[in-house]
Amino acid sequence: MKVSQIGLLLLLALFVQTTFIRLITNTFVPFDSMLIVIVFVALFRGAVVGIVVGSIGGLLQDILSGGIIGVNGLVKSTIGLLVGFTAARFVIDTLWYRLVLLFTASLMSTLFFLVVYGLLLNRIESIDLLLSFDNLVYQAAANMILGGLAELSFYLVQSLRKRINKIPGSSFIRREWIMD
Amino acid sequence: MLNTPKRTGSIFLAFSIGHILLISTQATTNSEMSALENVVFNIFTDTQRGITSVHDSVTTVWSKYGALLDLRAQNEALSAENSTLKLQIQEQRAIVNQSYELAKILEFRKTITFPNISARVISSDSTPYFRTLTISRGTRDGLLGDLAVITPSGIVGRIMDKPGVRAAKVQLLIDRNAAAGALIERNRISGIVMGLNDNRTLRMEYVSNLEDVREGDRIITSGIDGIYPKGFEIGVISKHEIGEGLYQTIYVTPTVNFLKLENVLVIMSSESSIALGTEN
Repeated sequence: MKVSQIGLLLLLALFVQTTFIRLITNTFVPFDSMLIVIVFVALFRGAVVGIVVGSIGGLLQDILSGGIIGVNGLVKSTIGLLVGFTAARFVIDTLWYRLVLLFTASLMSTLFFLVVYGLLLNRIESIDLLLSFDNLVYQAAANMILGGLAELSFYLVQSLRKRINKIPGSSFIRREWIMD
Repeated sequence: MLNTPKRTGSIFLAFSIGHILLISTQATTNSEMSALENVVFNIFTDTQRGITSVHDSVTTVWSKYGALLDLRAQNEALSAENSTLKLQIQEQRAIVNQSYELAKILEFRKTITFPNISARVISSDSTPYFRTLTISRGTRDGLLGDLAVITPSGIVGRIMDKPGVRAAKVQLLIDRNAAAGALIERNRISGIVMGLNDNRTLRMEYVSNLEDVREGDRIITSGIDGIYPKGFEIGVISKHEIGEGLYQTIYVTPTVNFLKLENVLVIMSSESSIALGTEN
């Protein structure tokens, strides 16, 4: 996965979260598309890239959000680090394992976010979301479902590309477009 | 040369310290939007505005295309005269539907005596943790922090911090960190309405257990917060119960549908809102 591709994924996640979903459904989205991108990038590219991408993605979210700038950067870079380390120590080779990892990362992200807000910034009123366990699980489940759909779509596109490339004379898709 | 775990740890430490410094800066000072934040915010809001415009254009083209298909079907079934008339009615209905919300805003705007400016909602919050929106007006249009944002249905929220040049963030009243001074319209009992991050529920605090509160009571702004003008609708009491301490637990259904906000009005001066408050 190239740097430009990661950059594009981050931008896509940001615009999906803030603009596209709103234009289609007029609602506040329960999932965190940026987190999904960060988890998958850290999973495939390791902890260092996870930290960097988590920091940049989190900061972009902070700038376009109502919160304090830096909190999401800190949270997402930590998630990038943890997912990168987990991927280096365990074999996470099936979709189900990755979805479980995404679910756990989503729970940790929200909890860490609330802890940072509640303790570091002395905003105790935000911590009451911790009591709303079903809300936490709902968000993590939404992230897991969206992540699963994204990965399945990716495989579908790759499979279609391979099929088209097998057809004699169909050289319009360049090999280097397929992600590393 | 550092080995891999040490290098990863060093990178993580460096990034974490950077983030904590950034957070500390904002926590200790109430500074204006930084240059970096301003540039990034403006770039993204311009792009979001572009996406919204493209969406509007595509919707318009699509609706015109749909109207043409309708016309063809009607031409086949009816006489040319009837078809033309029906098409005219359909077109007028479409125009009425499209401009209904804008007309409401304009009509409402005429009834407000203090300066205001209309704005379009261009995006929502980038995280699931807050309830904020971005609108298409900024300091270039004279916006400042803490100005009230309203619709004909009632109070929407306030402009956050210092707005960008061409866009501003609005903290909705349903955000868990938002609050507004409020009154029960029937008996003028005051309290504070707070957000719960729930799109259809607010909570009214600091109303004594001894006060007469009924389901269906209308809640309006009290103007005591210096942001929202007095007398604007907030919502209707949906549920209340006697609390364990001194105060009742009161839930309020907001009159504004926060999921369908497209155009809003920003009240341009807090002085004028205070003046309105004293009139009421």
